[in-house]
Amino acid sequence: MSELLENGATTLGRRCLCSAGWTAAFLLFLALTPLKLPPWAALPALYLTAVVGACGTAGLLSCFTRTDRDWSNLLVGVCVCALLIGGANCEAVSRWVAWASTQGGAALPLPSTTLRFSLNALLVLATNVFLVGAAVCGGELVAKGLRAPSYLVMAAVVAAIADTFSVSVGPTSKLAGSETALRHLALHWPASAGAA
Amino acid sequence: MIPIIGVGDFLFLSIFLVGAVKFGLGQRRNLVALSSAFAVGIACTLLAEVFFSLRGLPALPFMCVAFLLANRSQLRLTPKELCAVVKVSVMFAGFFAALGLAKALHLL
Repeated sequence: MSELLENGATTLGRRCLCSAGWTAAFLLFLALTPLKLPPWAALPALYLTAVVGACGTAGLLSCFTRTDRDWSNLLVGVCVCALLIGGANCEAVSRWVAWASTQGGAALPLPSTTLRFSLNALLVLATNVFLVGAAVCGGELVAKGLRAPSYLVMAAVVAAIADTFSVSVGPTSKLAGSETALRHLALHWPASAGAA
Repeated sequence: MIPIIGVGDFLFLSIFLVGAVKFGLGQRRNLVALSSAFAVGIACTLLAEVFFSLRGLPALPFMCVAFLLANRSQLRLTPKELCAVVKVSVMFAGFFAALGLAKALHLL
């Protein structure tokens, strides 16, 4: 039992480190980007949204792509969900509380007092998780058919070209104008007050 | 809530990750590389919307570049494979360029 807890703690520790490092890299990127900054009032919400989205993505992907699914993975998944719901609902939450939570990555949920659960947020979250799960399962099926690493190079090049075309003038640009299509095919990420 | 990431992005993310595990390219390194690319993609999408009012940026090029860079030492192609990749890339690029041109000229 103690070994199980120790392993779980180690895994969680690694996840935290990974999330923190990842967030740091993201912030470094923002700091080095030679762009004019948006108004100060919009900065925390904008960055917080991106960080929460990034941590949530890492946590979910980590849960879905691991083969040895155990209790610590489930715990991380639950915490990520709580974090996403919290991010979706935080309007007046202190950005420092949110920042501390996101720094801990998916393992540190926001304090329950700052969460305001709503059915809409749960539905969006459930849809997101379903879409990510479906996409990951589809990806696993496709990847099982790969016979050589060179196939991955081909897939990467073709996917990059196709996605660039699709987003600029192709079907994705058309879908972006349709609220119904976006509701079903795009993942909705939590935006703090002022970011969206 | 802002819709910024499509399902297809996660599909390819999964293909790359599962492929990396399958061929022993290093799960942790690829997870970090692809996640970082994802974060950069999200940041760029948000910044592009704020500064240039652009509605959406492709996320896959970020991930593809990150994946290829992270595995550049292991993904060595034979001349035959390289030729095939170049051929397919040129074919797809030409096809999409023609489609884009046709749309620009209102032929489609």
